[in-house]
Amino acid sequence: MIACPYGVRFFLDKERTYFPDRKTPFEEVKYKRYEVGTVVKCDFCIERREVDKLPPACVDVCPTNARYFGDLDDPHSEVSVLIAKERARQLHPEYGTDPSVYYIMG
Amino acid sequence: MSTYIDLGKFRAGERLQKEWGFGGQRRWRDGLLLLAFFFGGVGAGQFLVSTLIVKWPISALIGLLIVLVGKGAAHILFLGRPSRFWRIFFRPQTSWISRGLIFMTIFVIFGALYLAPDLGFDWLPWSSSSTTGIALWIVAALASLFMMVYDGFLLASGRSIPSWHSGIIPMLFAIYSLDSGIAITSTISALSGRIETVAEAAYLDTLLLLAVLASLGVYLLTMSGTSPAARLSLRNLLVGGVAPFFIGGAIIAGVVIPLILIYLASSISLSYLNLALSLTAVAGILALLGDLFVRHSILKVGYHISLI
Repeated sequence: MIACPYGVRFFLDKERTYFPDRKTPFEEVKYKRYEVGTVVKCDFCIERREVDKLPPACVDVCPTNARYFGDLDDPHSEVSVLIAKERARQLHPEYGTDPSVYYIMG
Repeated sequence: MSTYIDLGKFRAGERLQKEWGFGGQRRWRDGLLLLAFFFGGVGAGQFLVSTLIVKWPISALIGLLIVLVGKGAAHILFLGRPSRFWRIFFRPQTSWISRGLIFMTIFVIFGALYLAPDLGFDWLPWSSSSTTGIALWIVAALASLFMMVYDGFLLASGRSIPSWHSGIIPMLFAIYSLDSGIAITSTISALSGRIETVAEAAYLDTLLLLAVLASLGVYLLTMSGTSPAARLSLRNLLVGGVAPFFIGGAIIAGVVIPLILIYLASSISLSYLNLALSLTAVAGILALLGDLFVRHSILKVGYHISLI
């Protein structure tokens, strides 16, 4: 957690739900895999990928279509083409962590 | 310098780490890691000083107990799932925390075996001066040296926090640990009237307090010329919210005043022996608090580098 230059890991001290009294269906799935008292990070909504090959929820709901999700290993995927065509960069590549998140610099 | 794009929780500018300091999610655990570092350094330093310099088994035993009980309890309570603490032992190839725990275990076991014959267990087939005893001491002493530096290496290993990612930090923590070991030995000696130990410890304490002052100066100088995050840490240390702890607690109360008190104690005539012993005891307690304050200050000013 401390060493991560991107601050993407966090300690799950308790179950945090959207509704105060119940979990949403996605939260039900999520908290089956997450364990309170451990450190977790974004897993790109793997439960959505596993069931219906859906993109992560944040990509689905982004009102300005600012997010893209795809296979970096496939040179013909939408994300690979975007990265090759646009001015895309990783955050702090000097640390050698080779993050899978790229930012298009506008 | 610190450009924040604060959209809810996202911050592109320098971010203050809170998990190992104060103010994070797990408020009740605030300060536990600080205490673990502090007790580890003090206990290891006290063991080394008590066995190598002043030859006082009771004091060395106190050092061992500080590590075992103080550091051990603080570390276990800090964990999110304490029942899984044993997993820490299995990552020495990548984790300084794992290496620290392994050496802490070695330190406690070998230190206890070395001290046992002098503490009533004289039926054991070795004494502290036998070849076996000396071998046990060497292992315990090496482990204690490692414990004095490992928390510095642990902080320095995080490249994203420039005020920690410095070669000075392990050295600074090691000097502080040794000084705290001497300070606590000197305080216990003064309170129990061991005059010969007090004089020796007070002399060493003076040398190490001067070394602490020099190391702190080098640490601050190295931070001034690096990244914006390091300069933010420096500003926080010198004029920000941490300044009262760093300047007031760590430097003035923890180094300058103890140096003056030790000087006064050594200048007082022997007819005021009790006053000299009291001054030395107070100097030792202040030096210990200085160690706590400096570790607290460094943990509190850990700024992550800016994301962009």
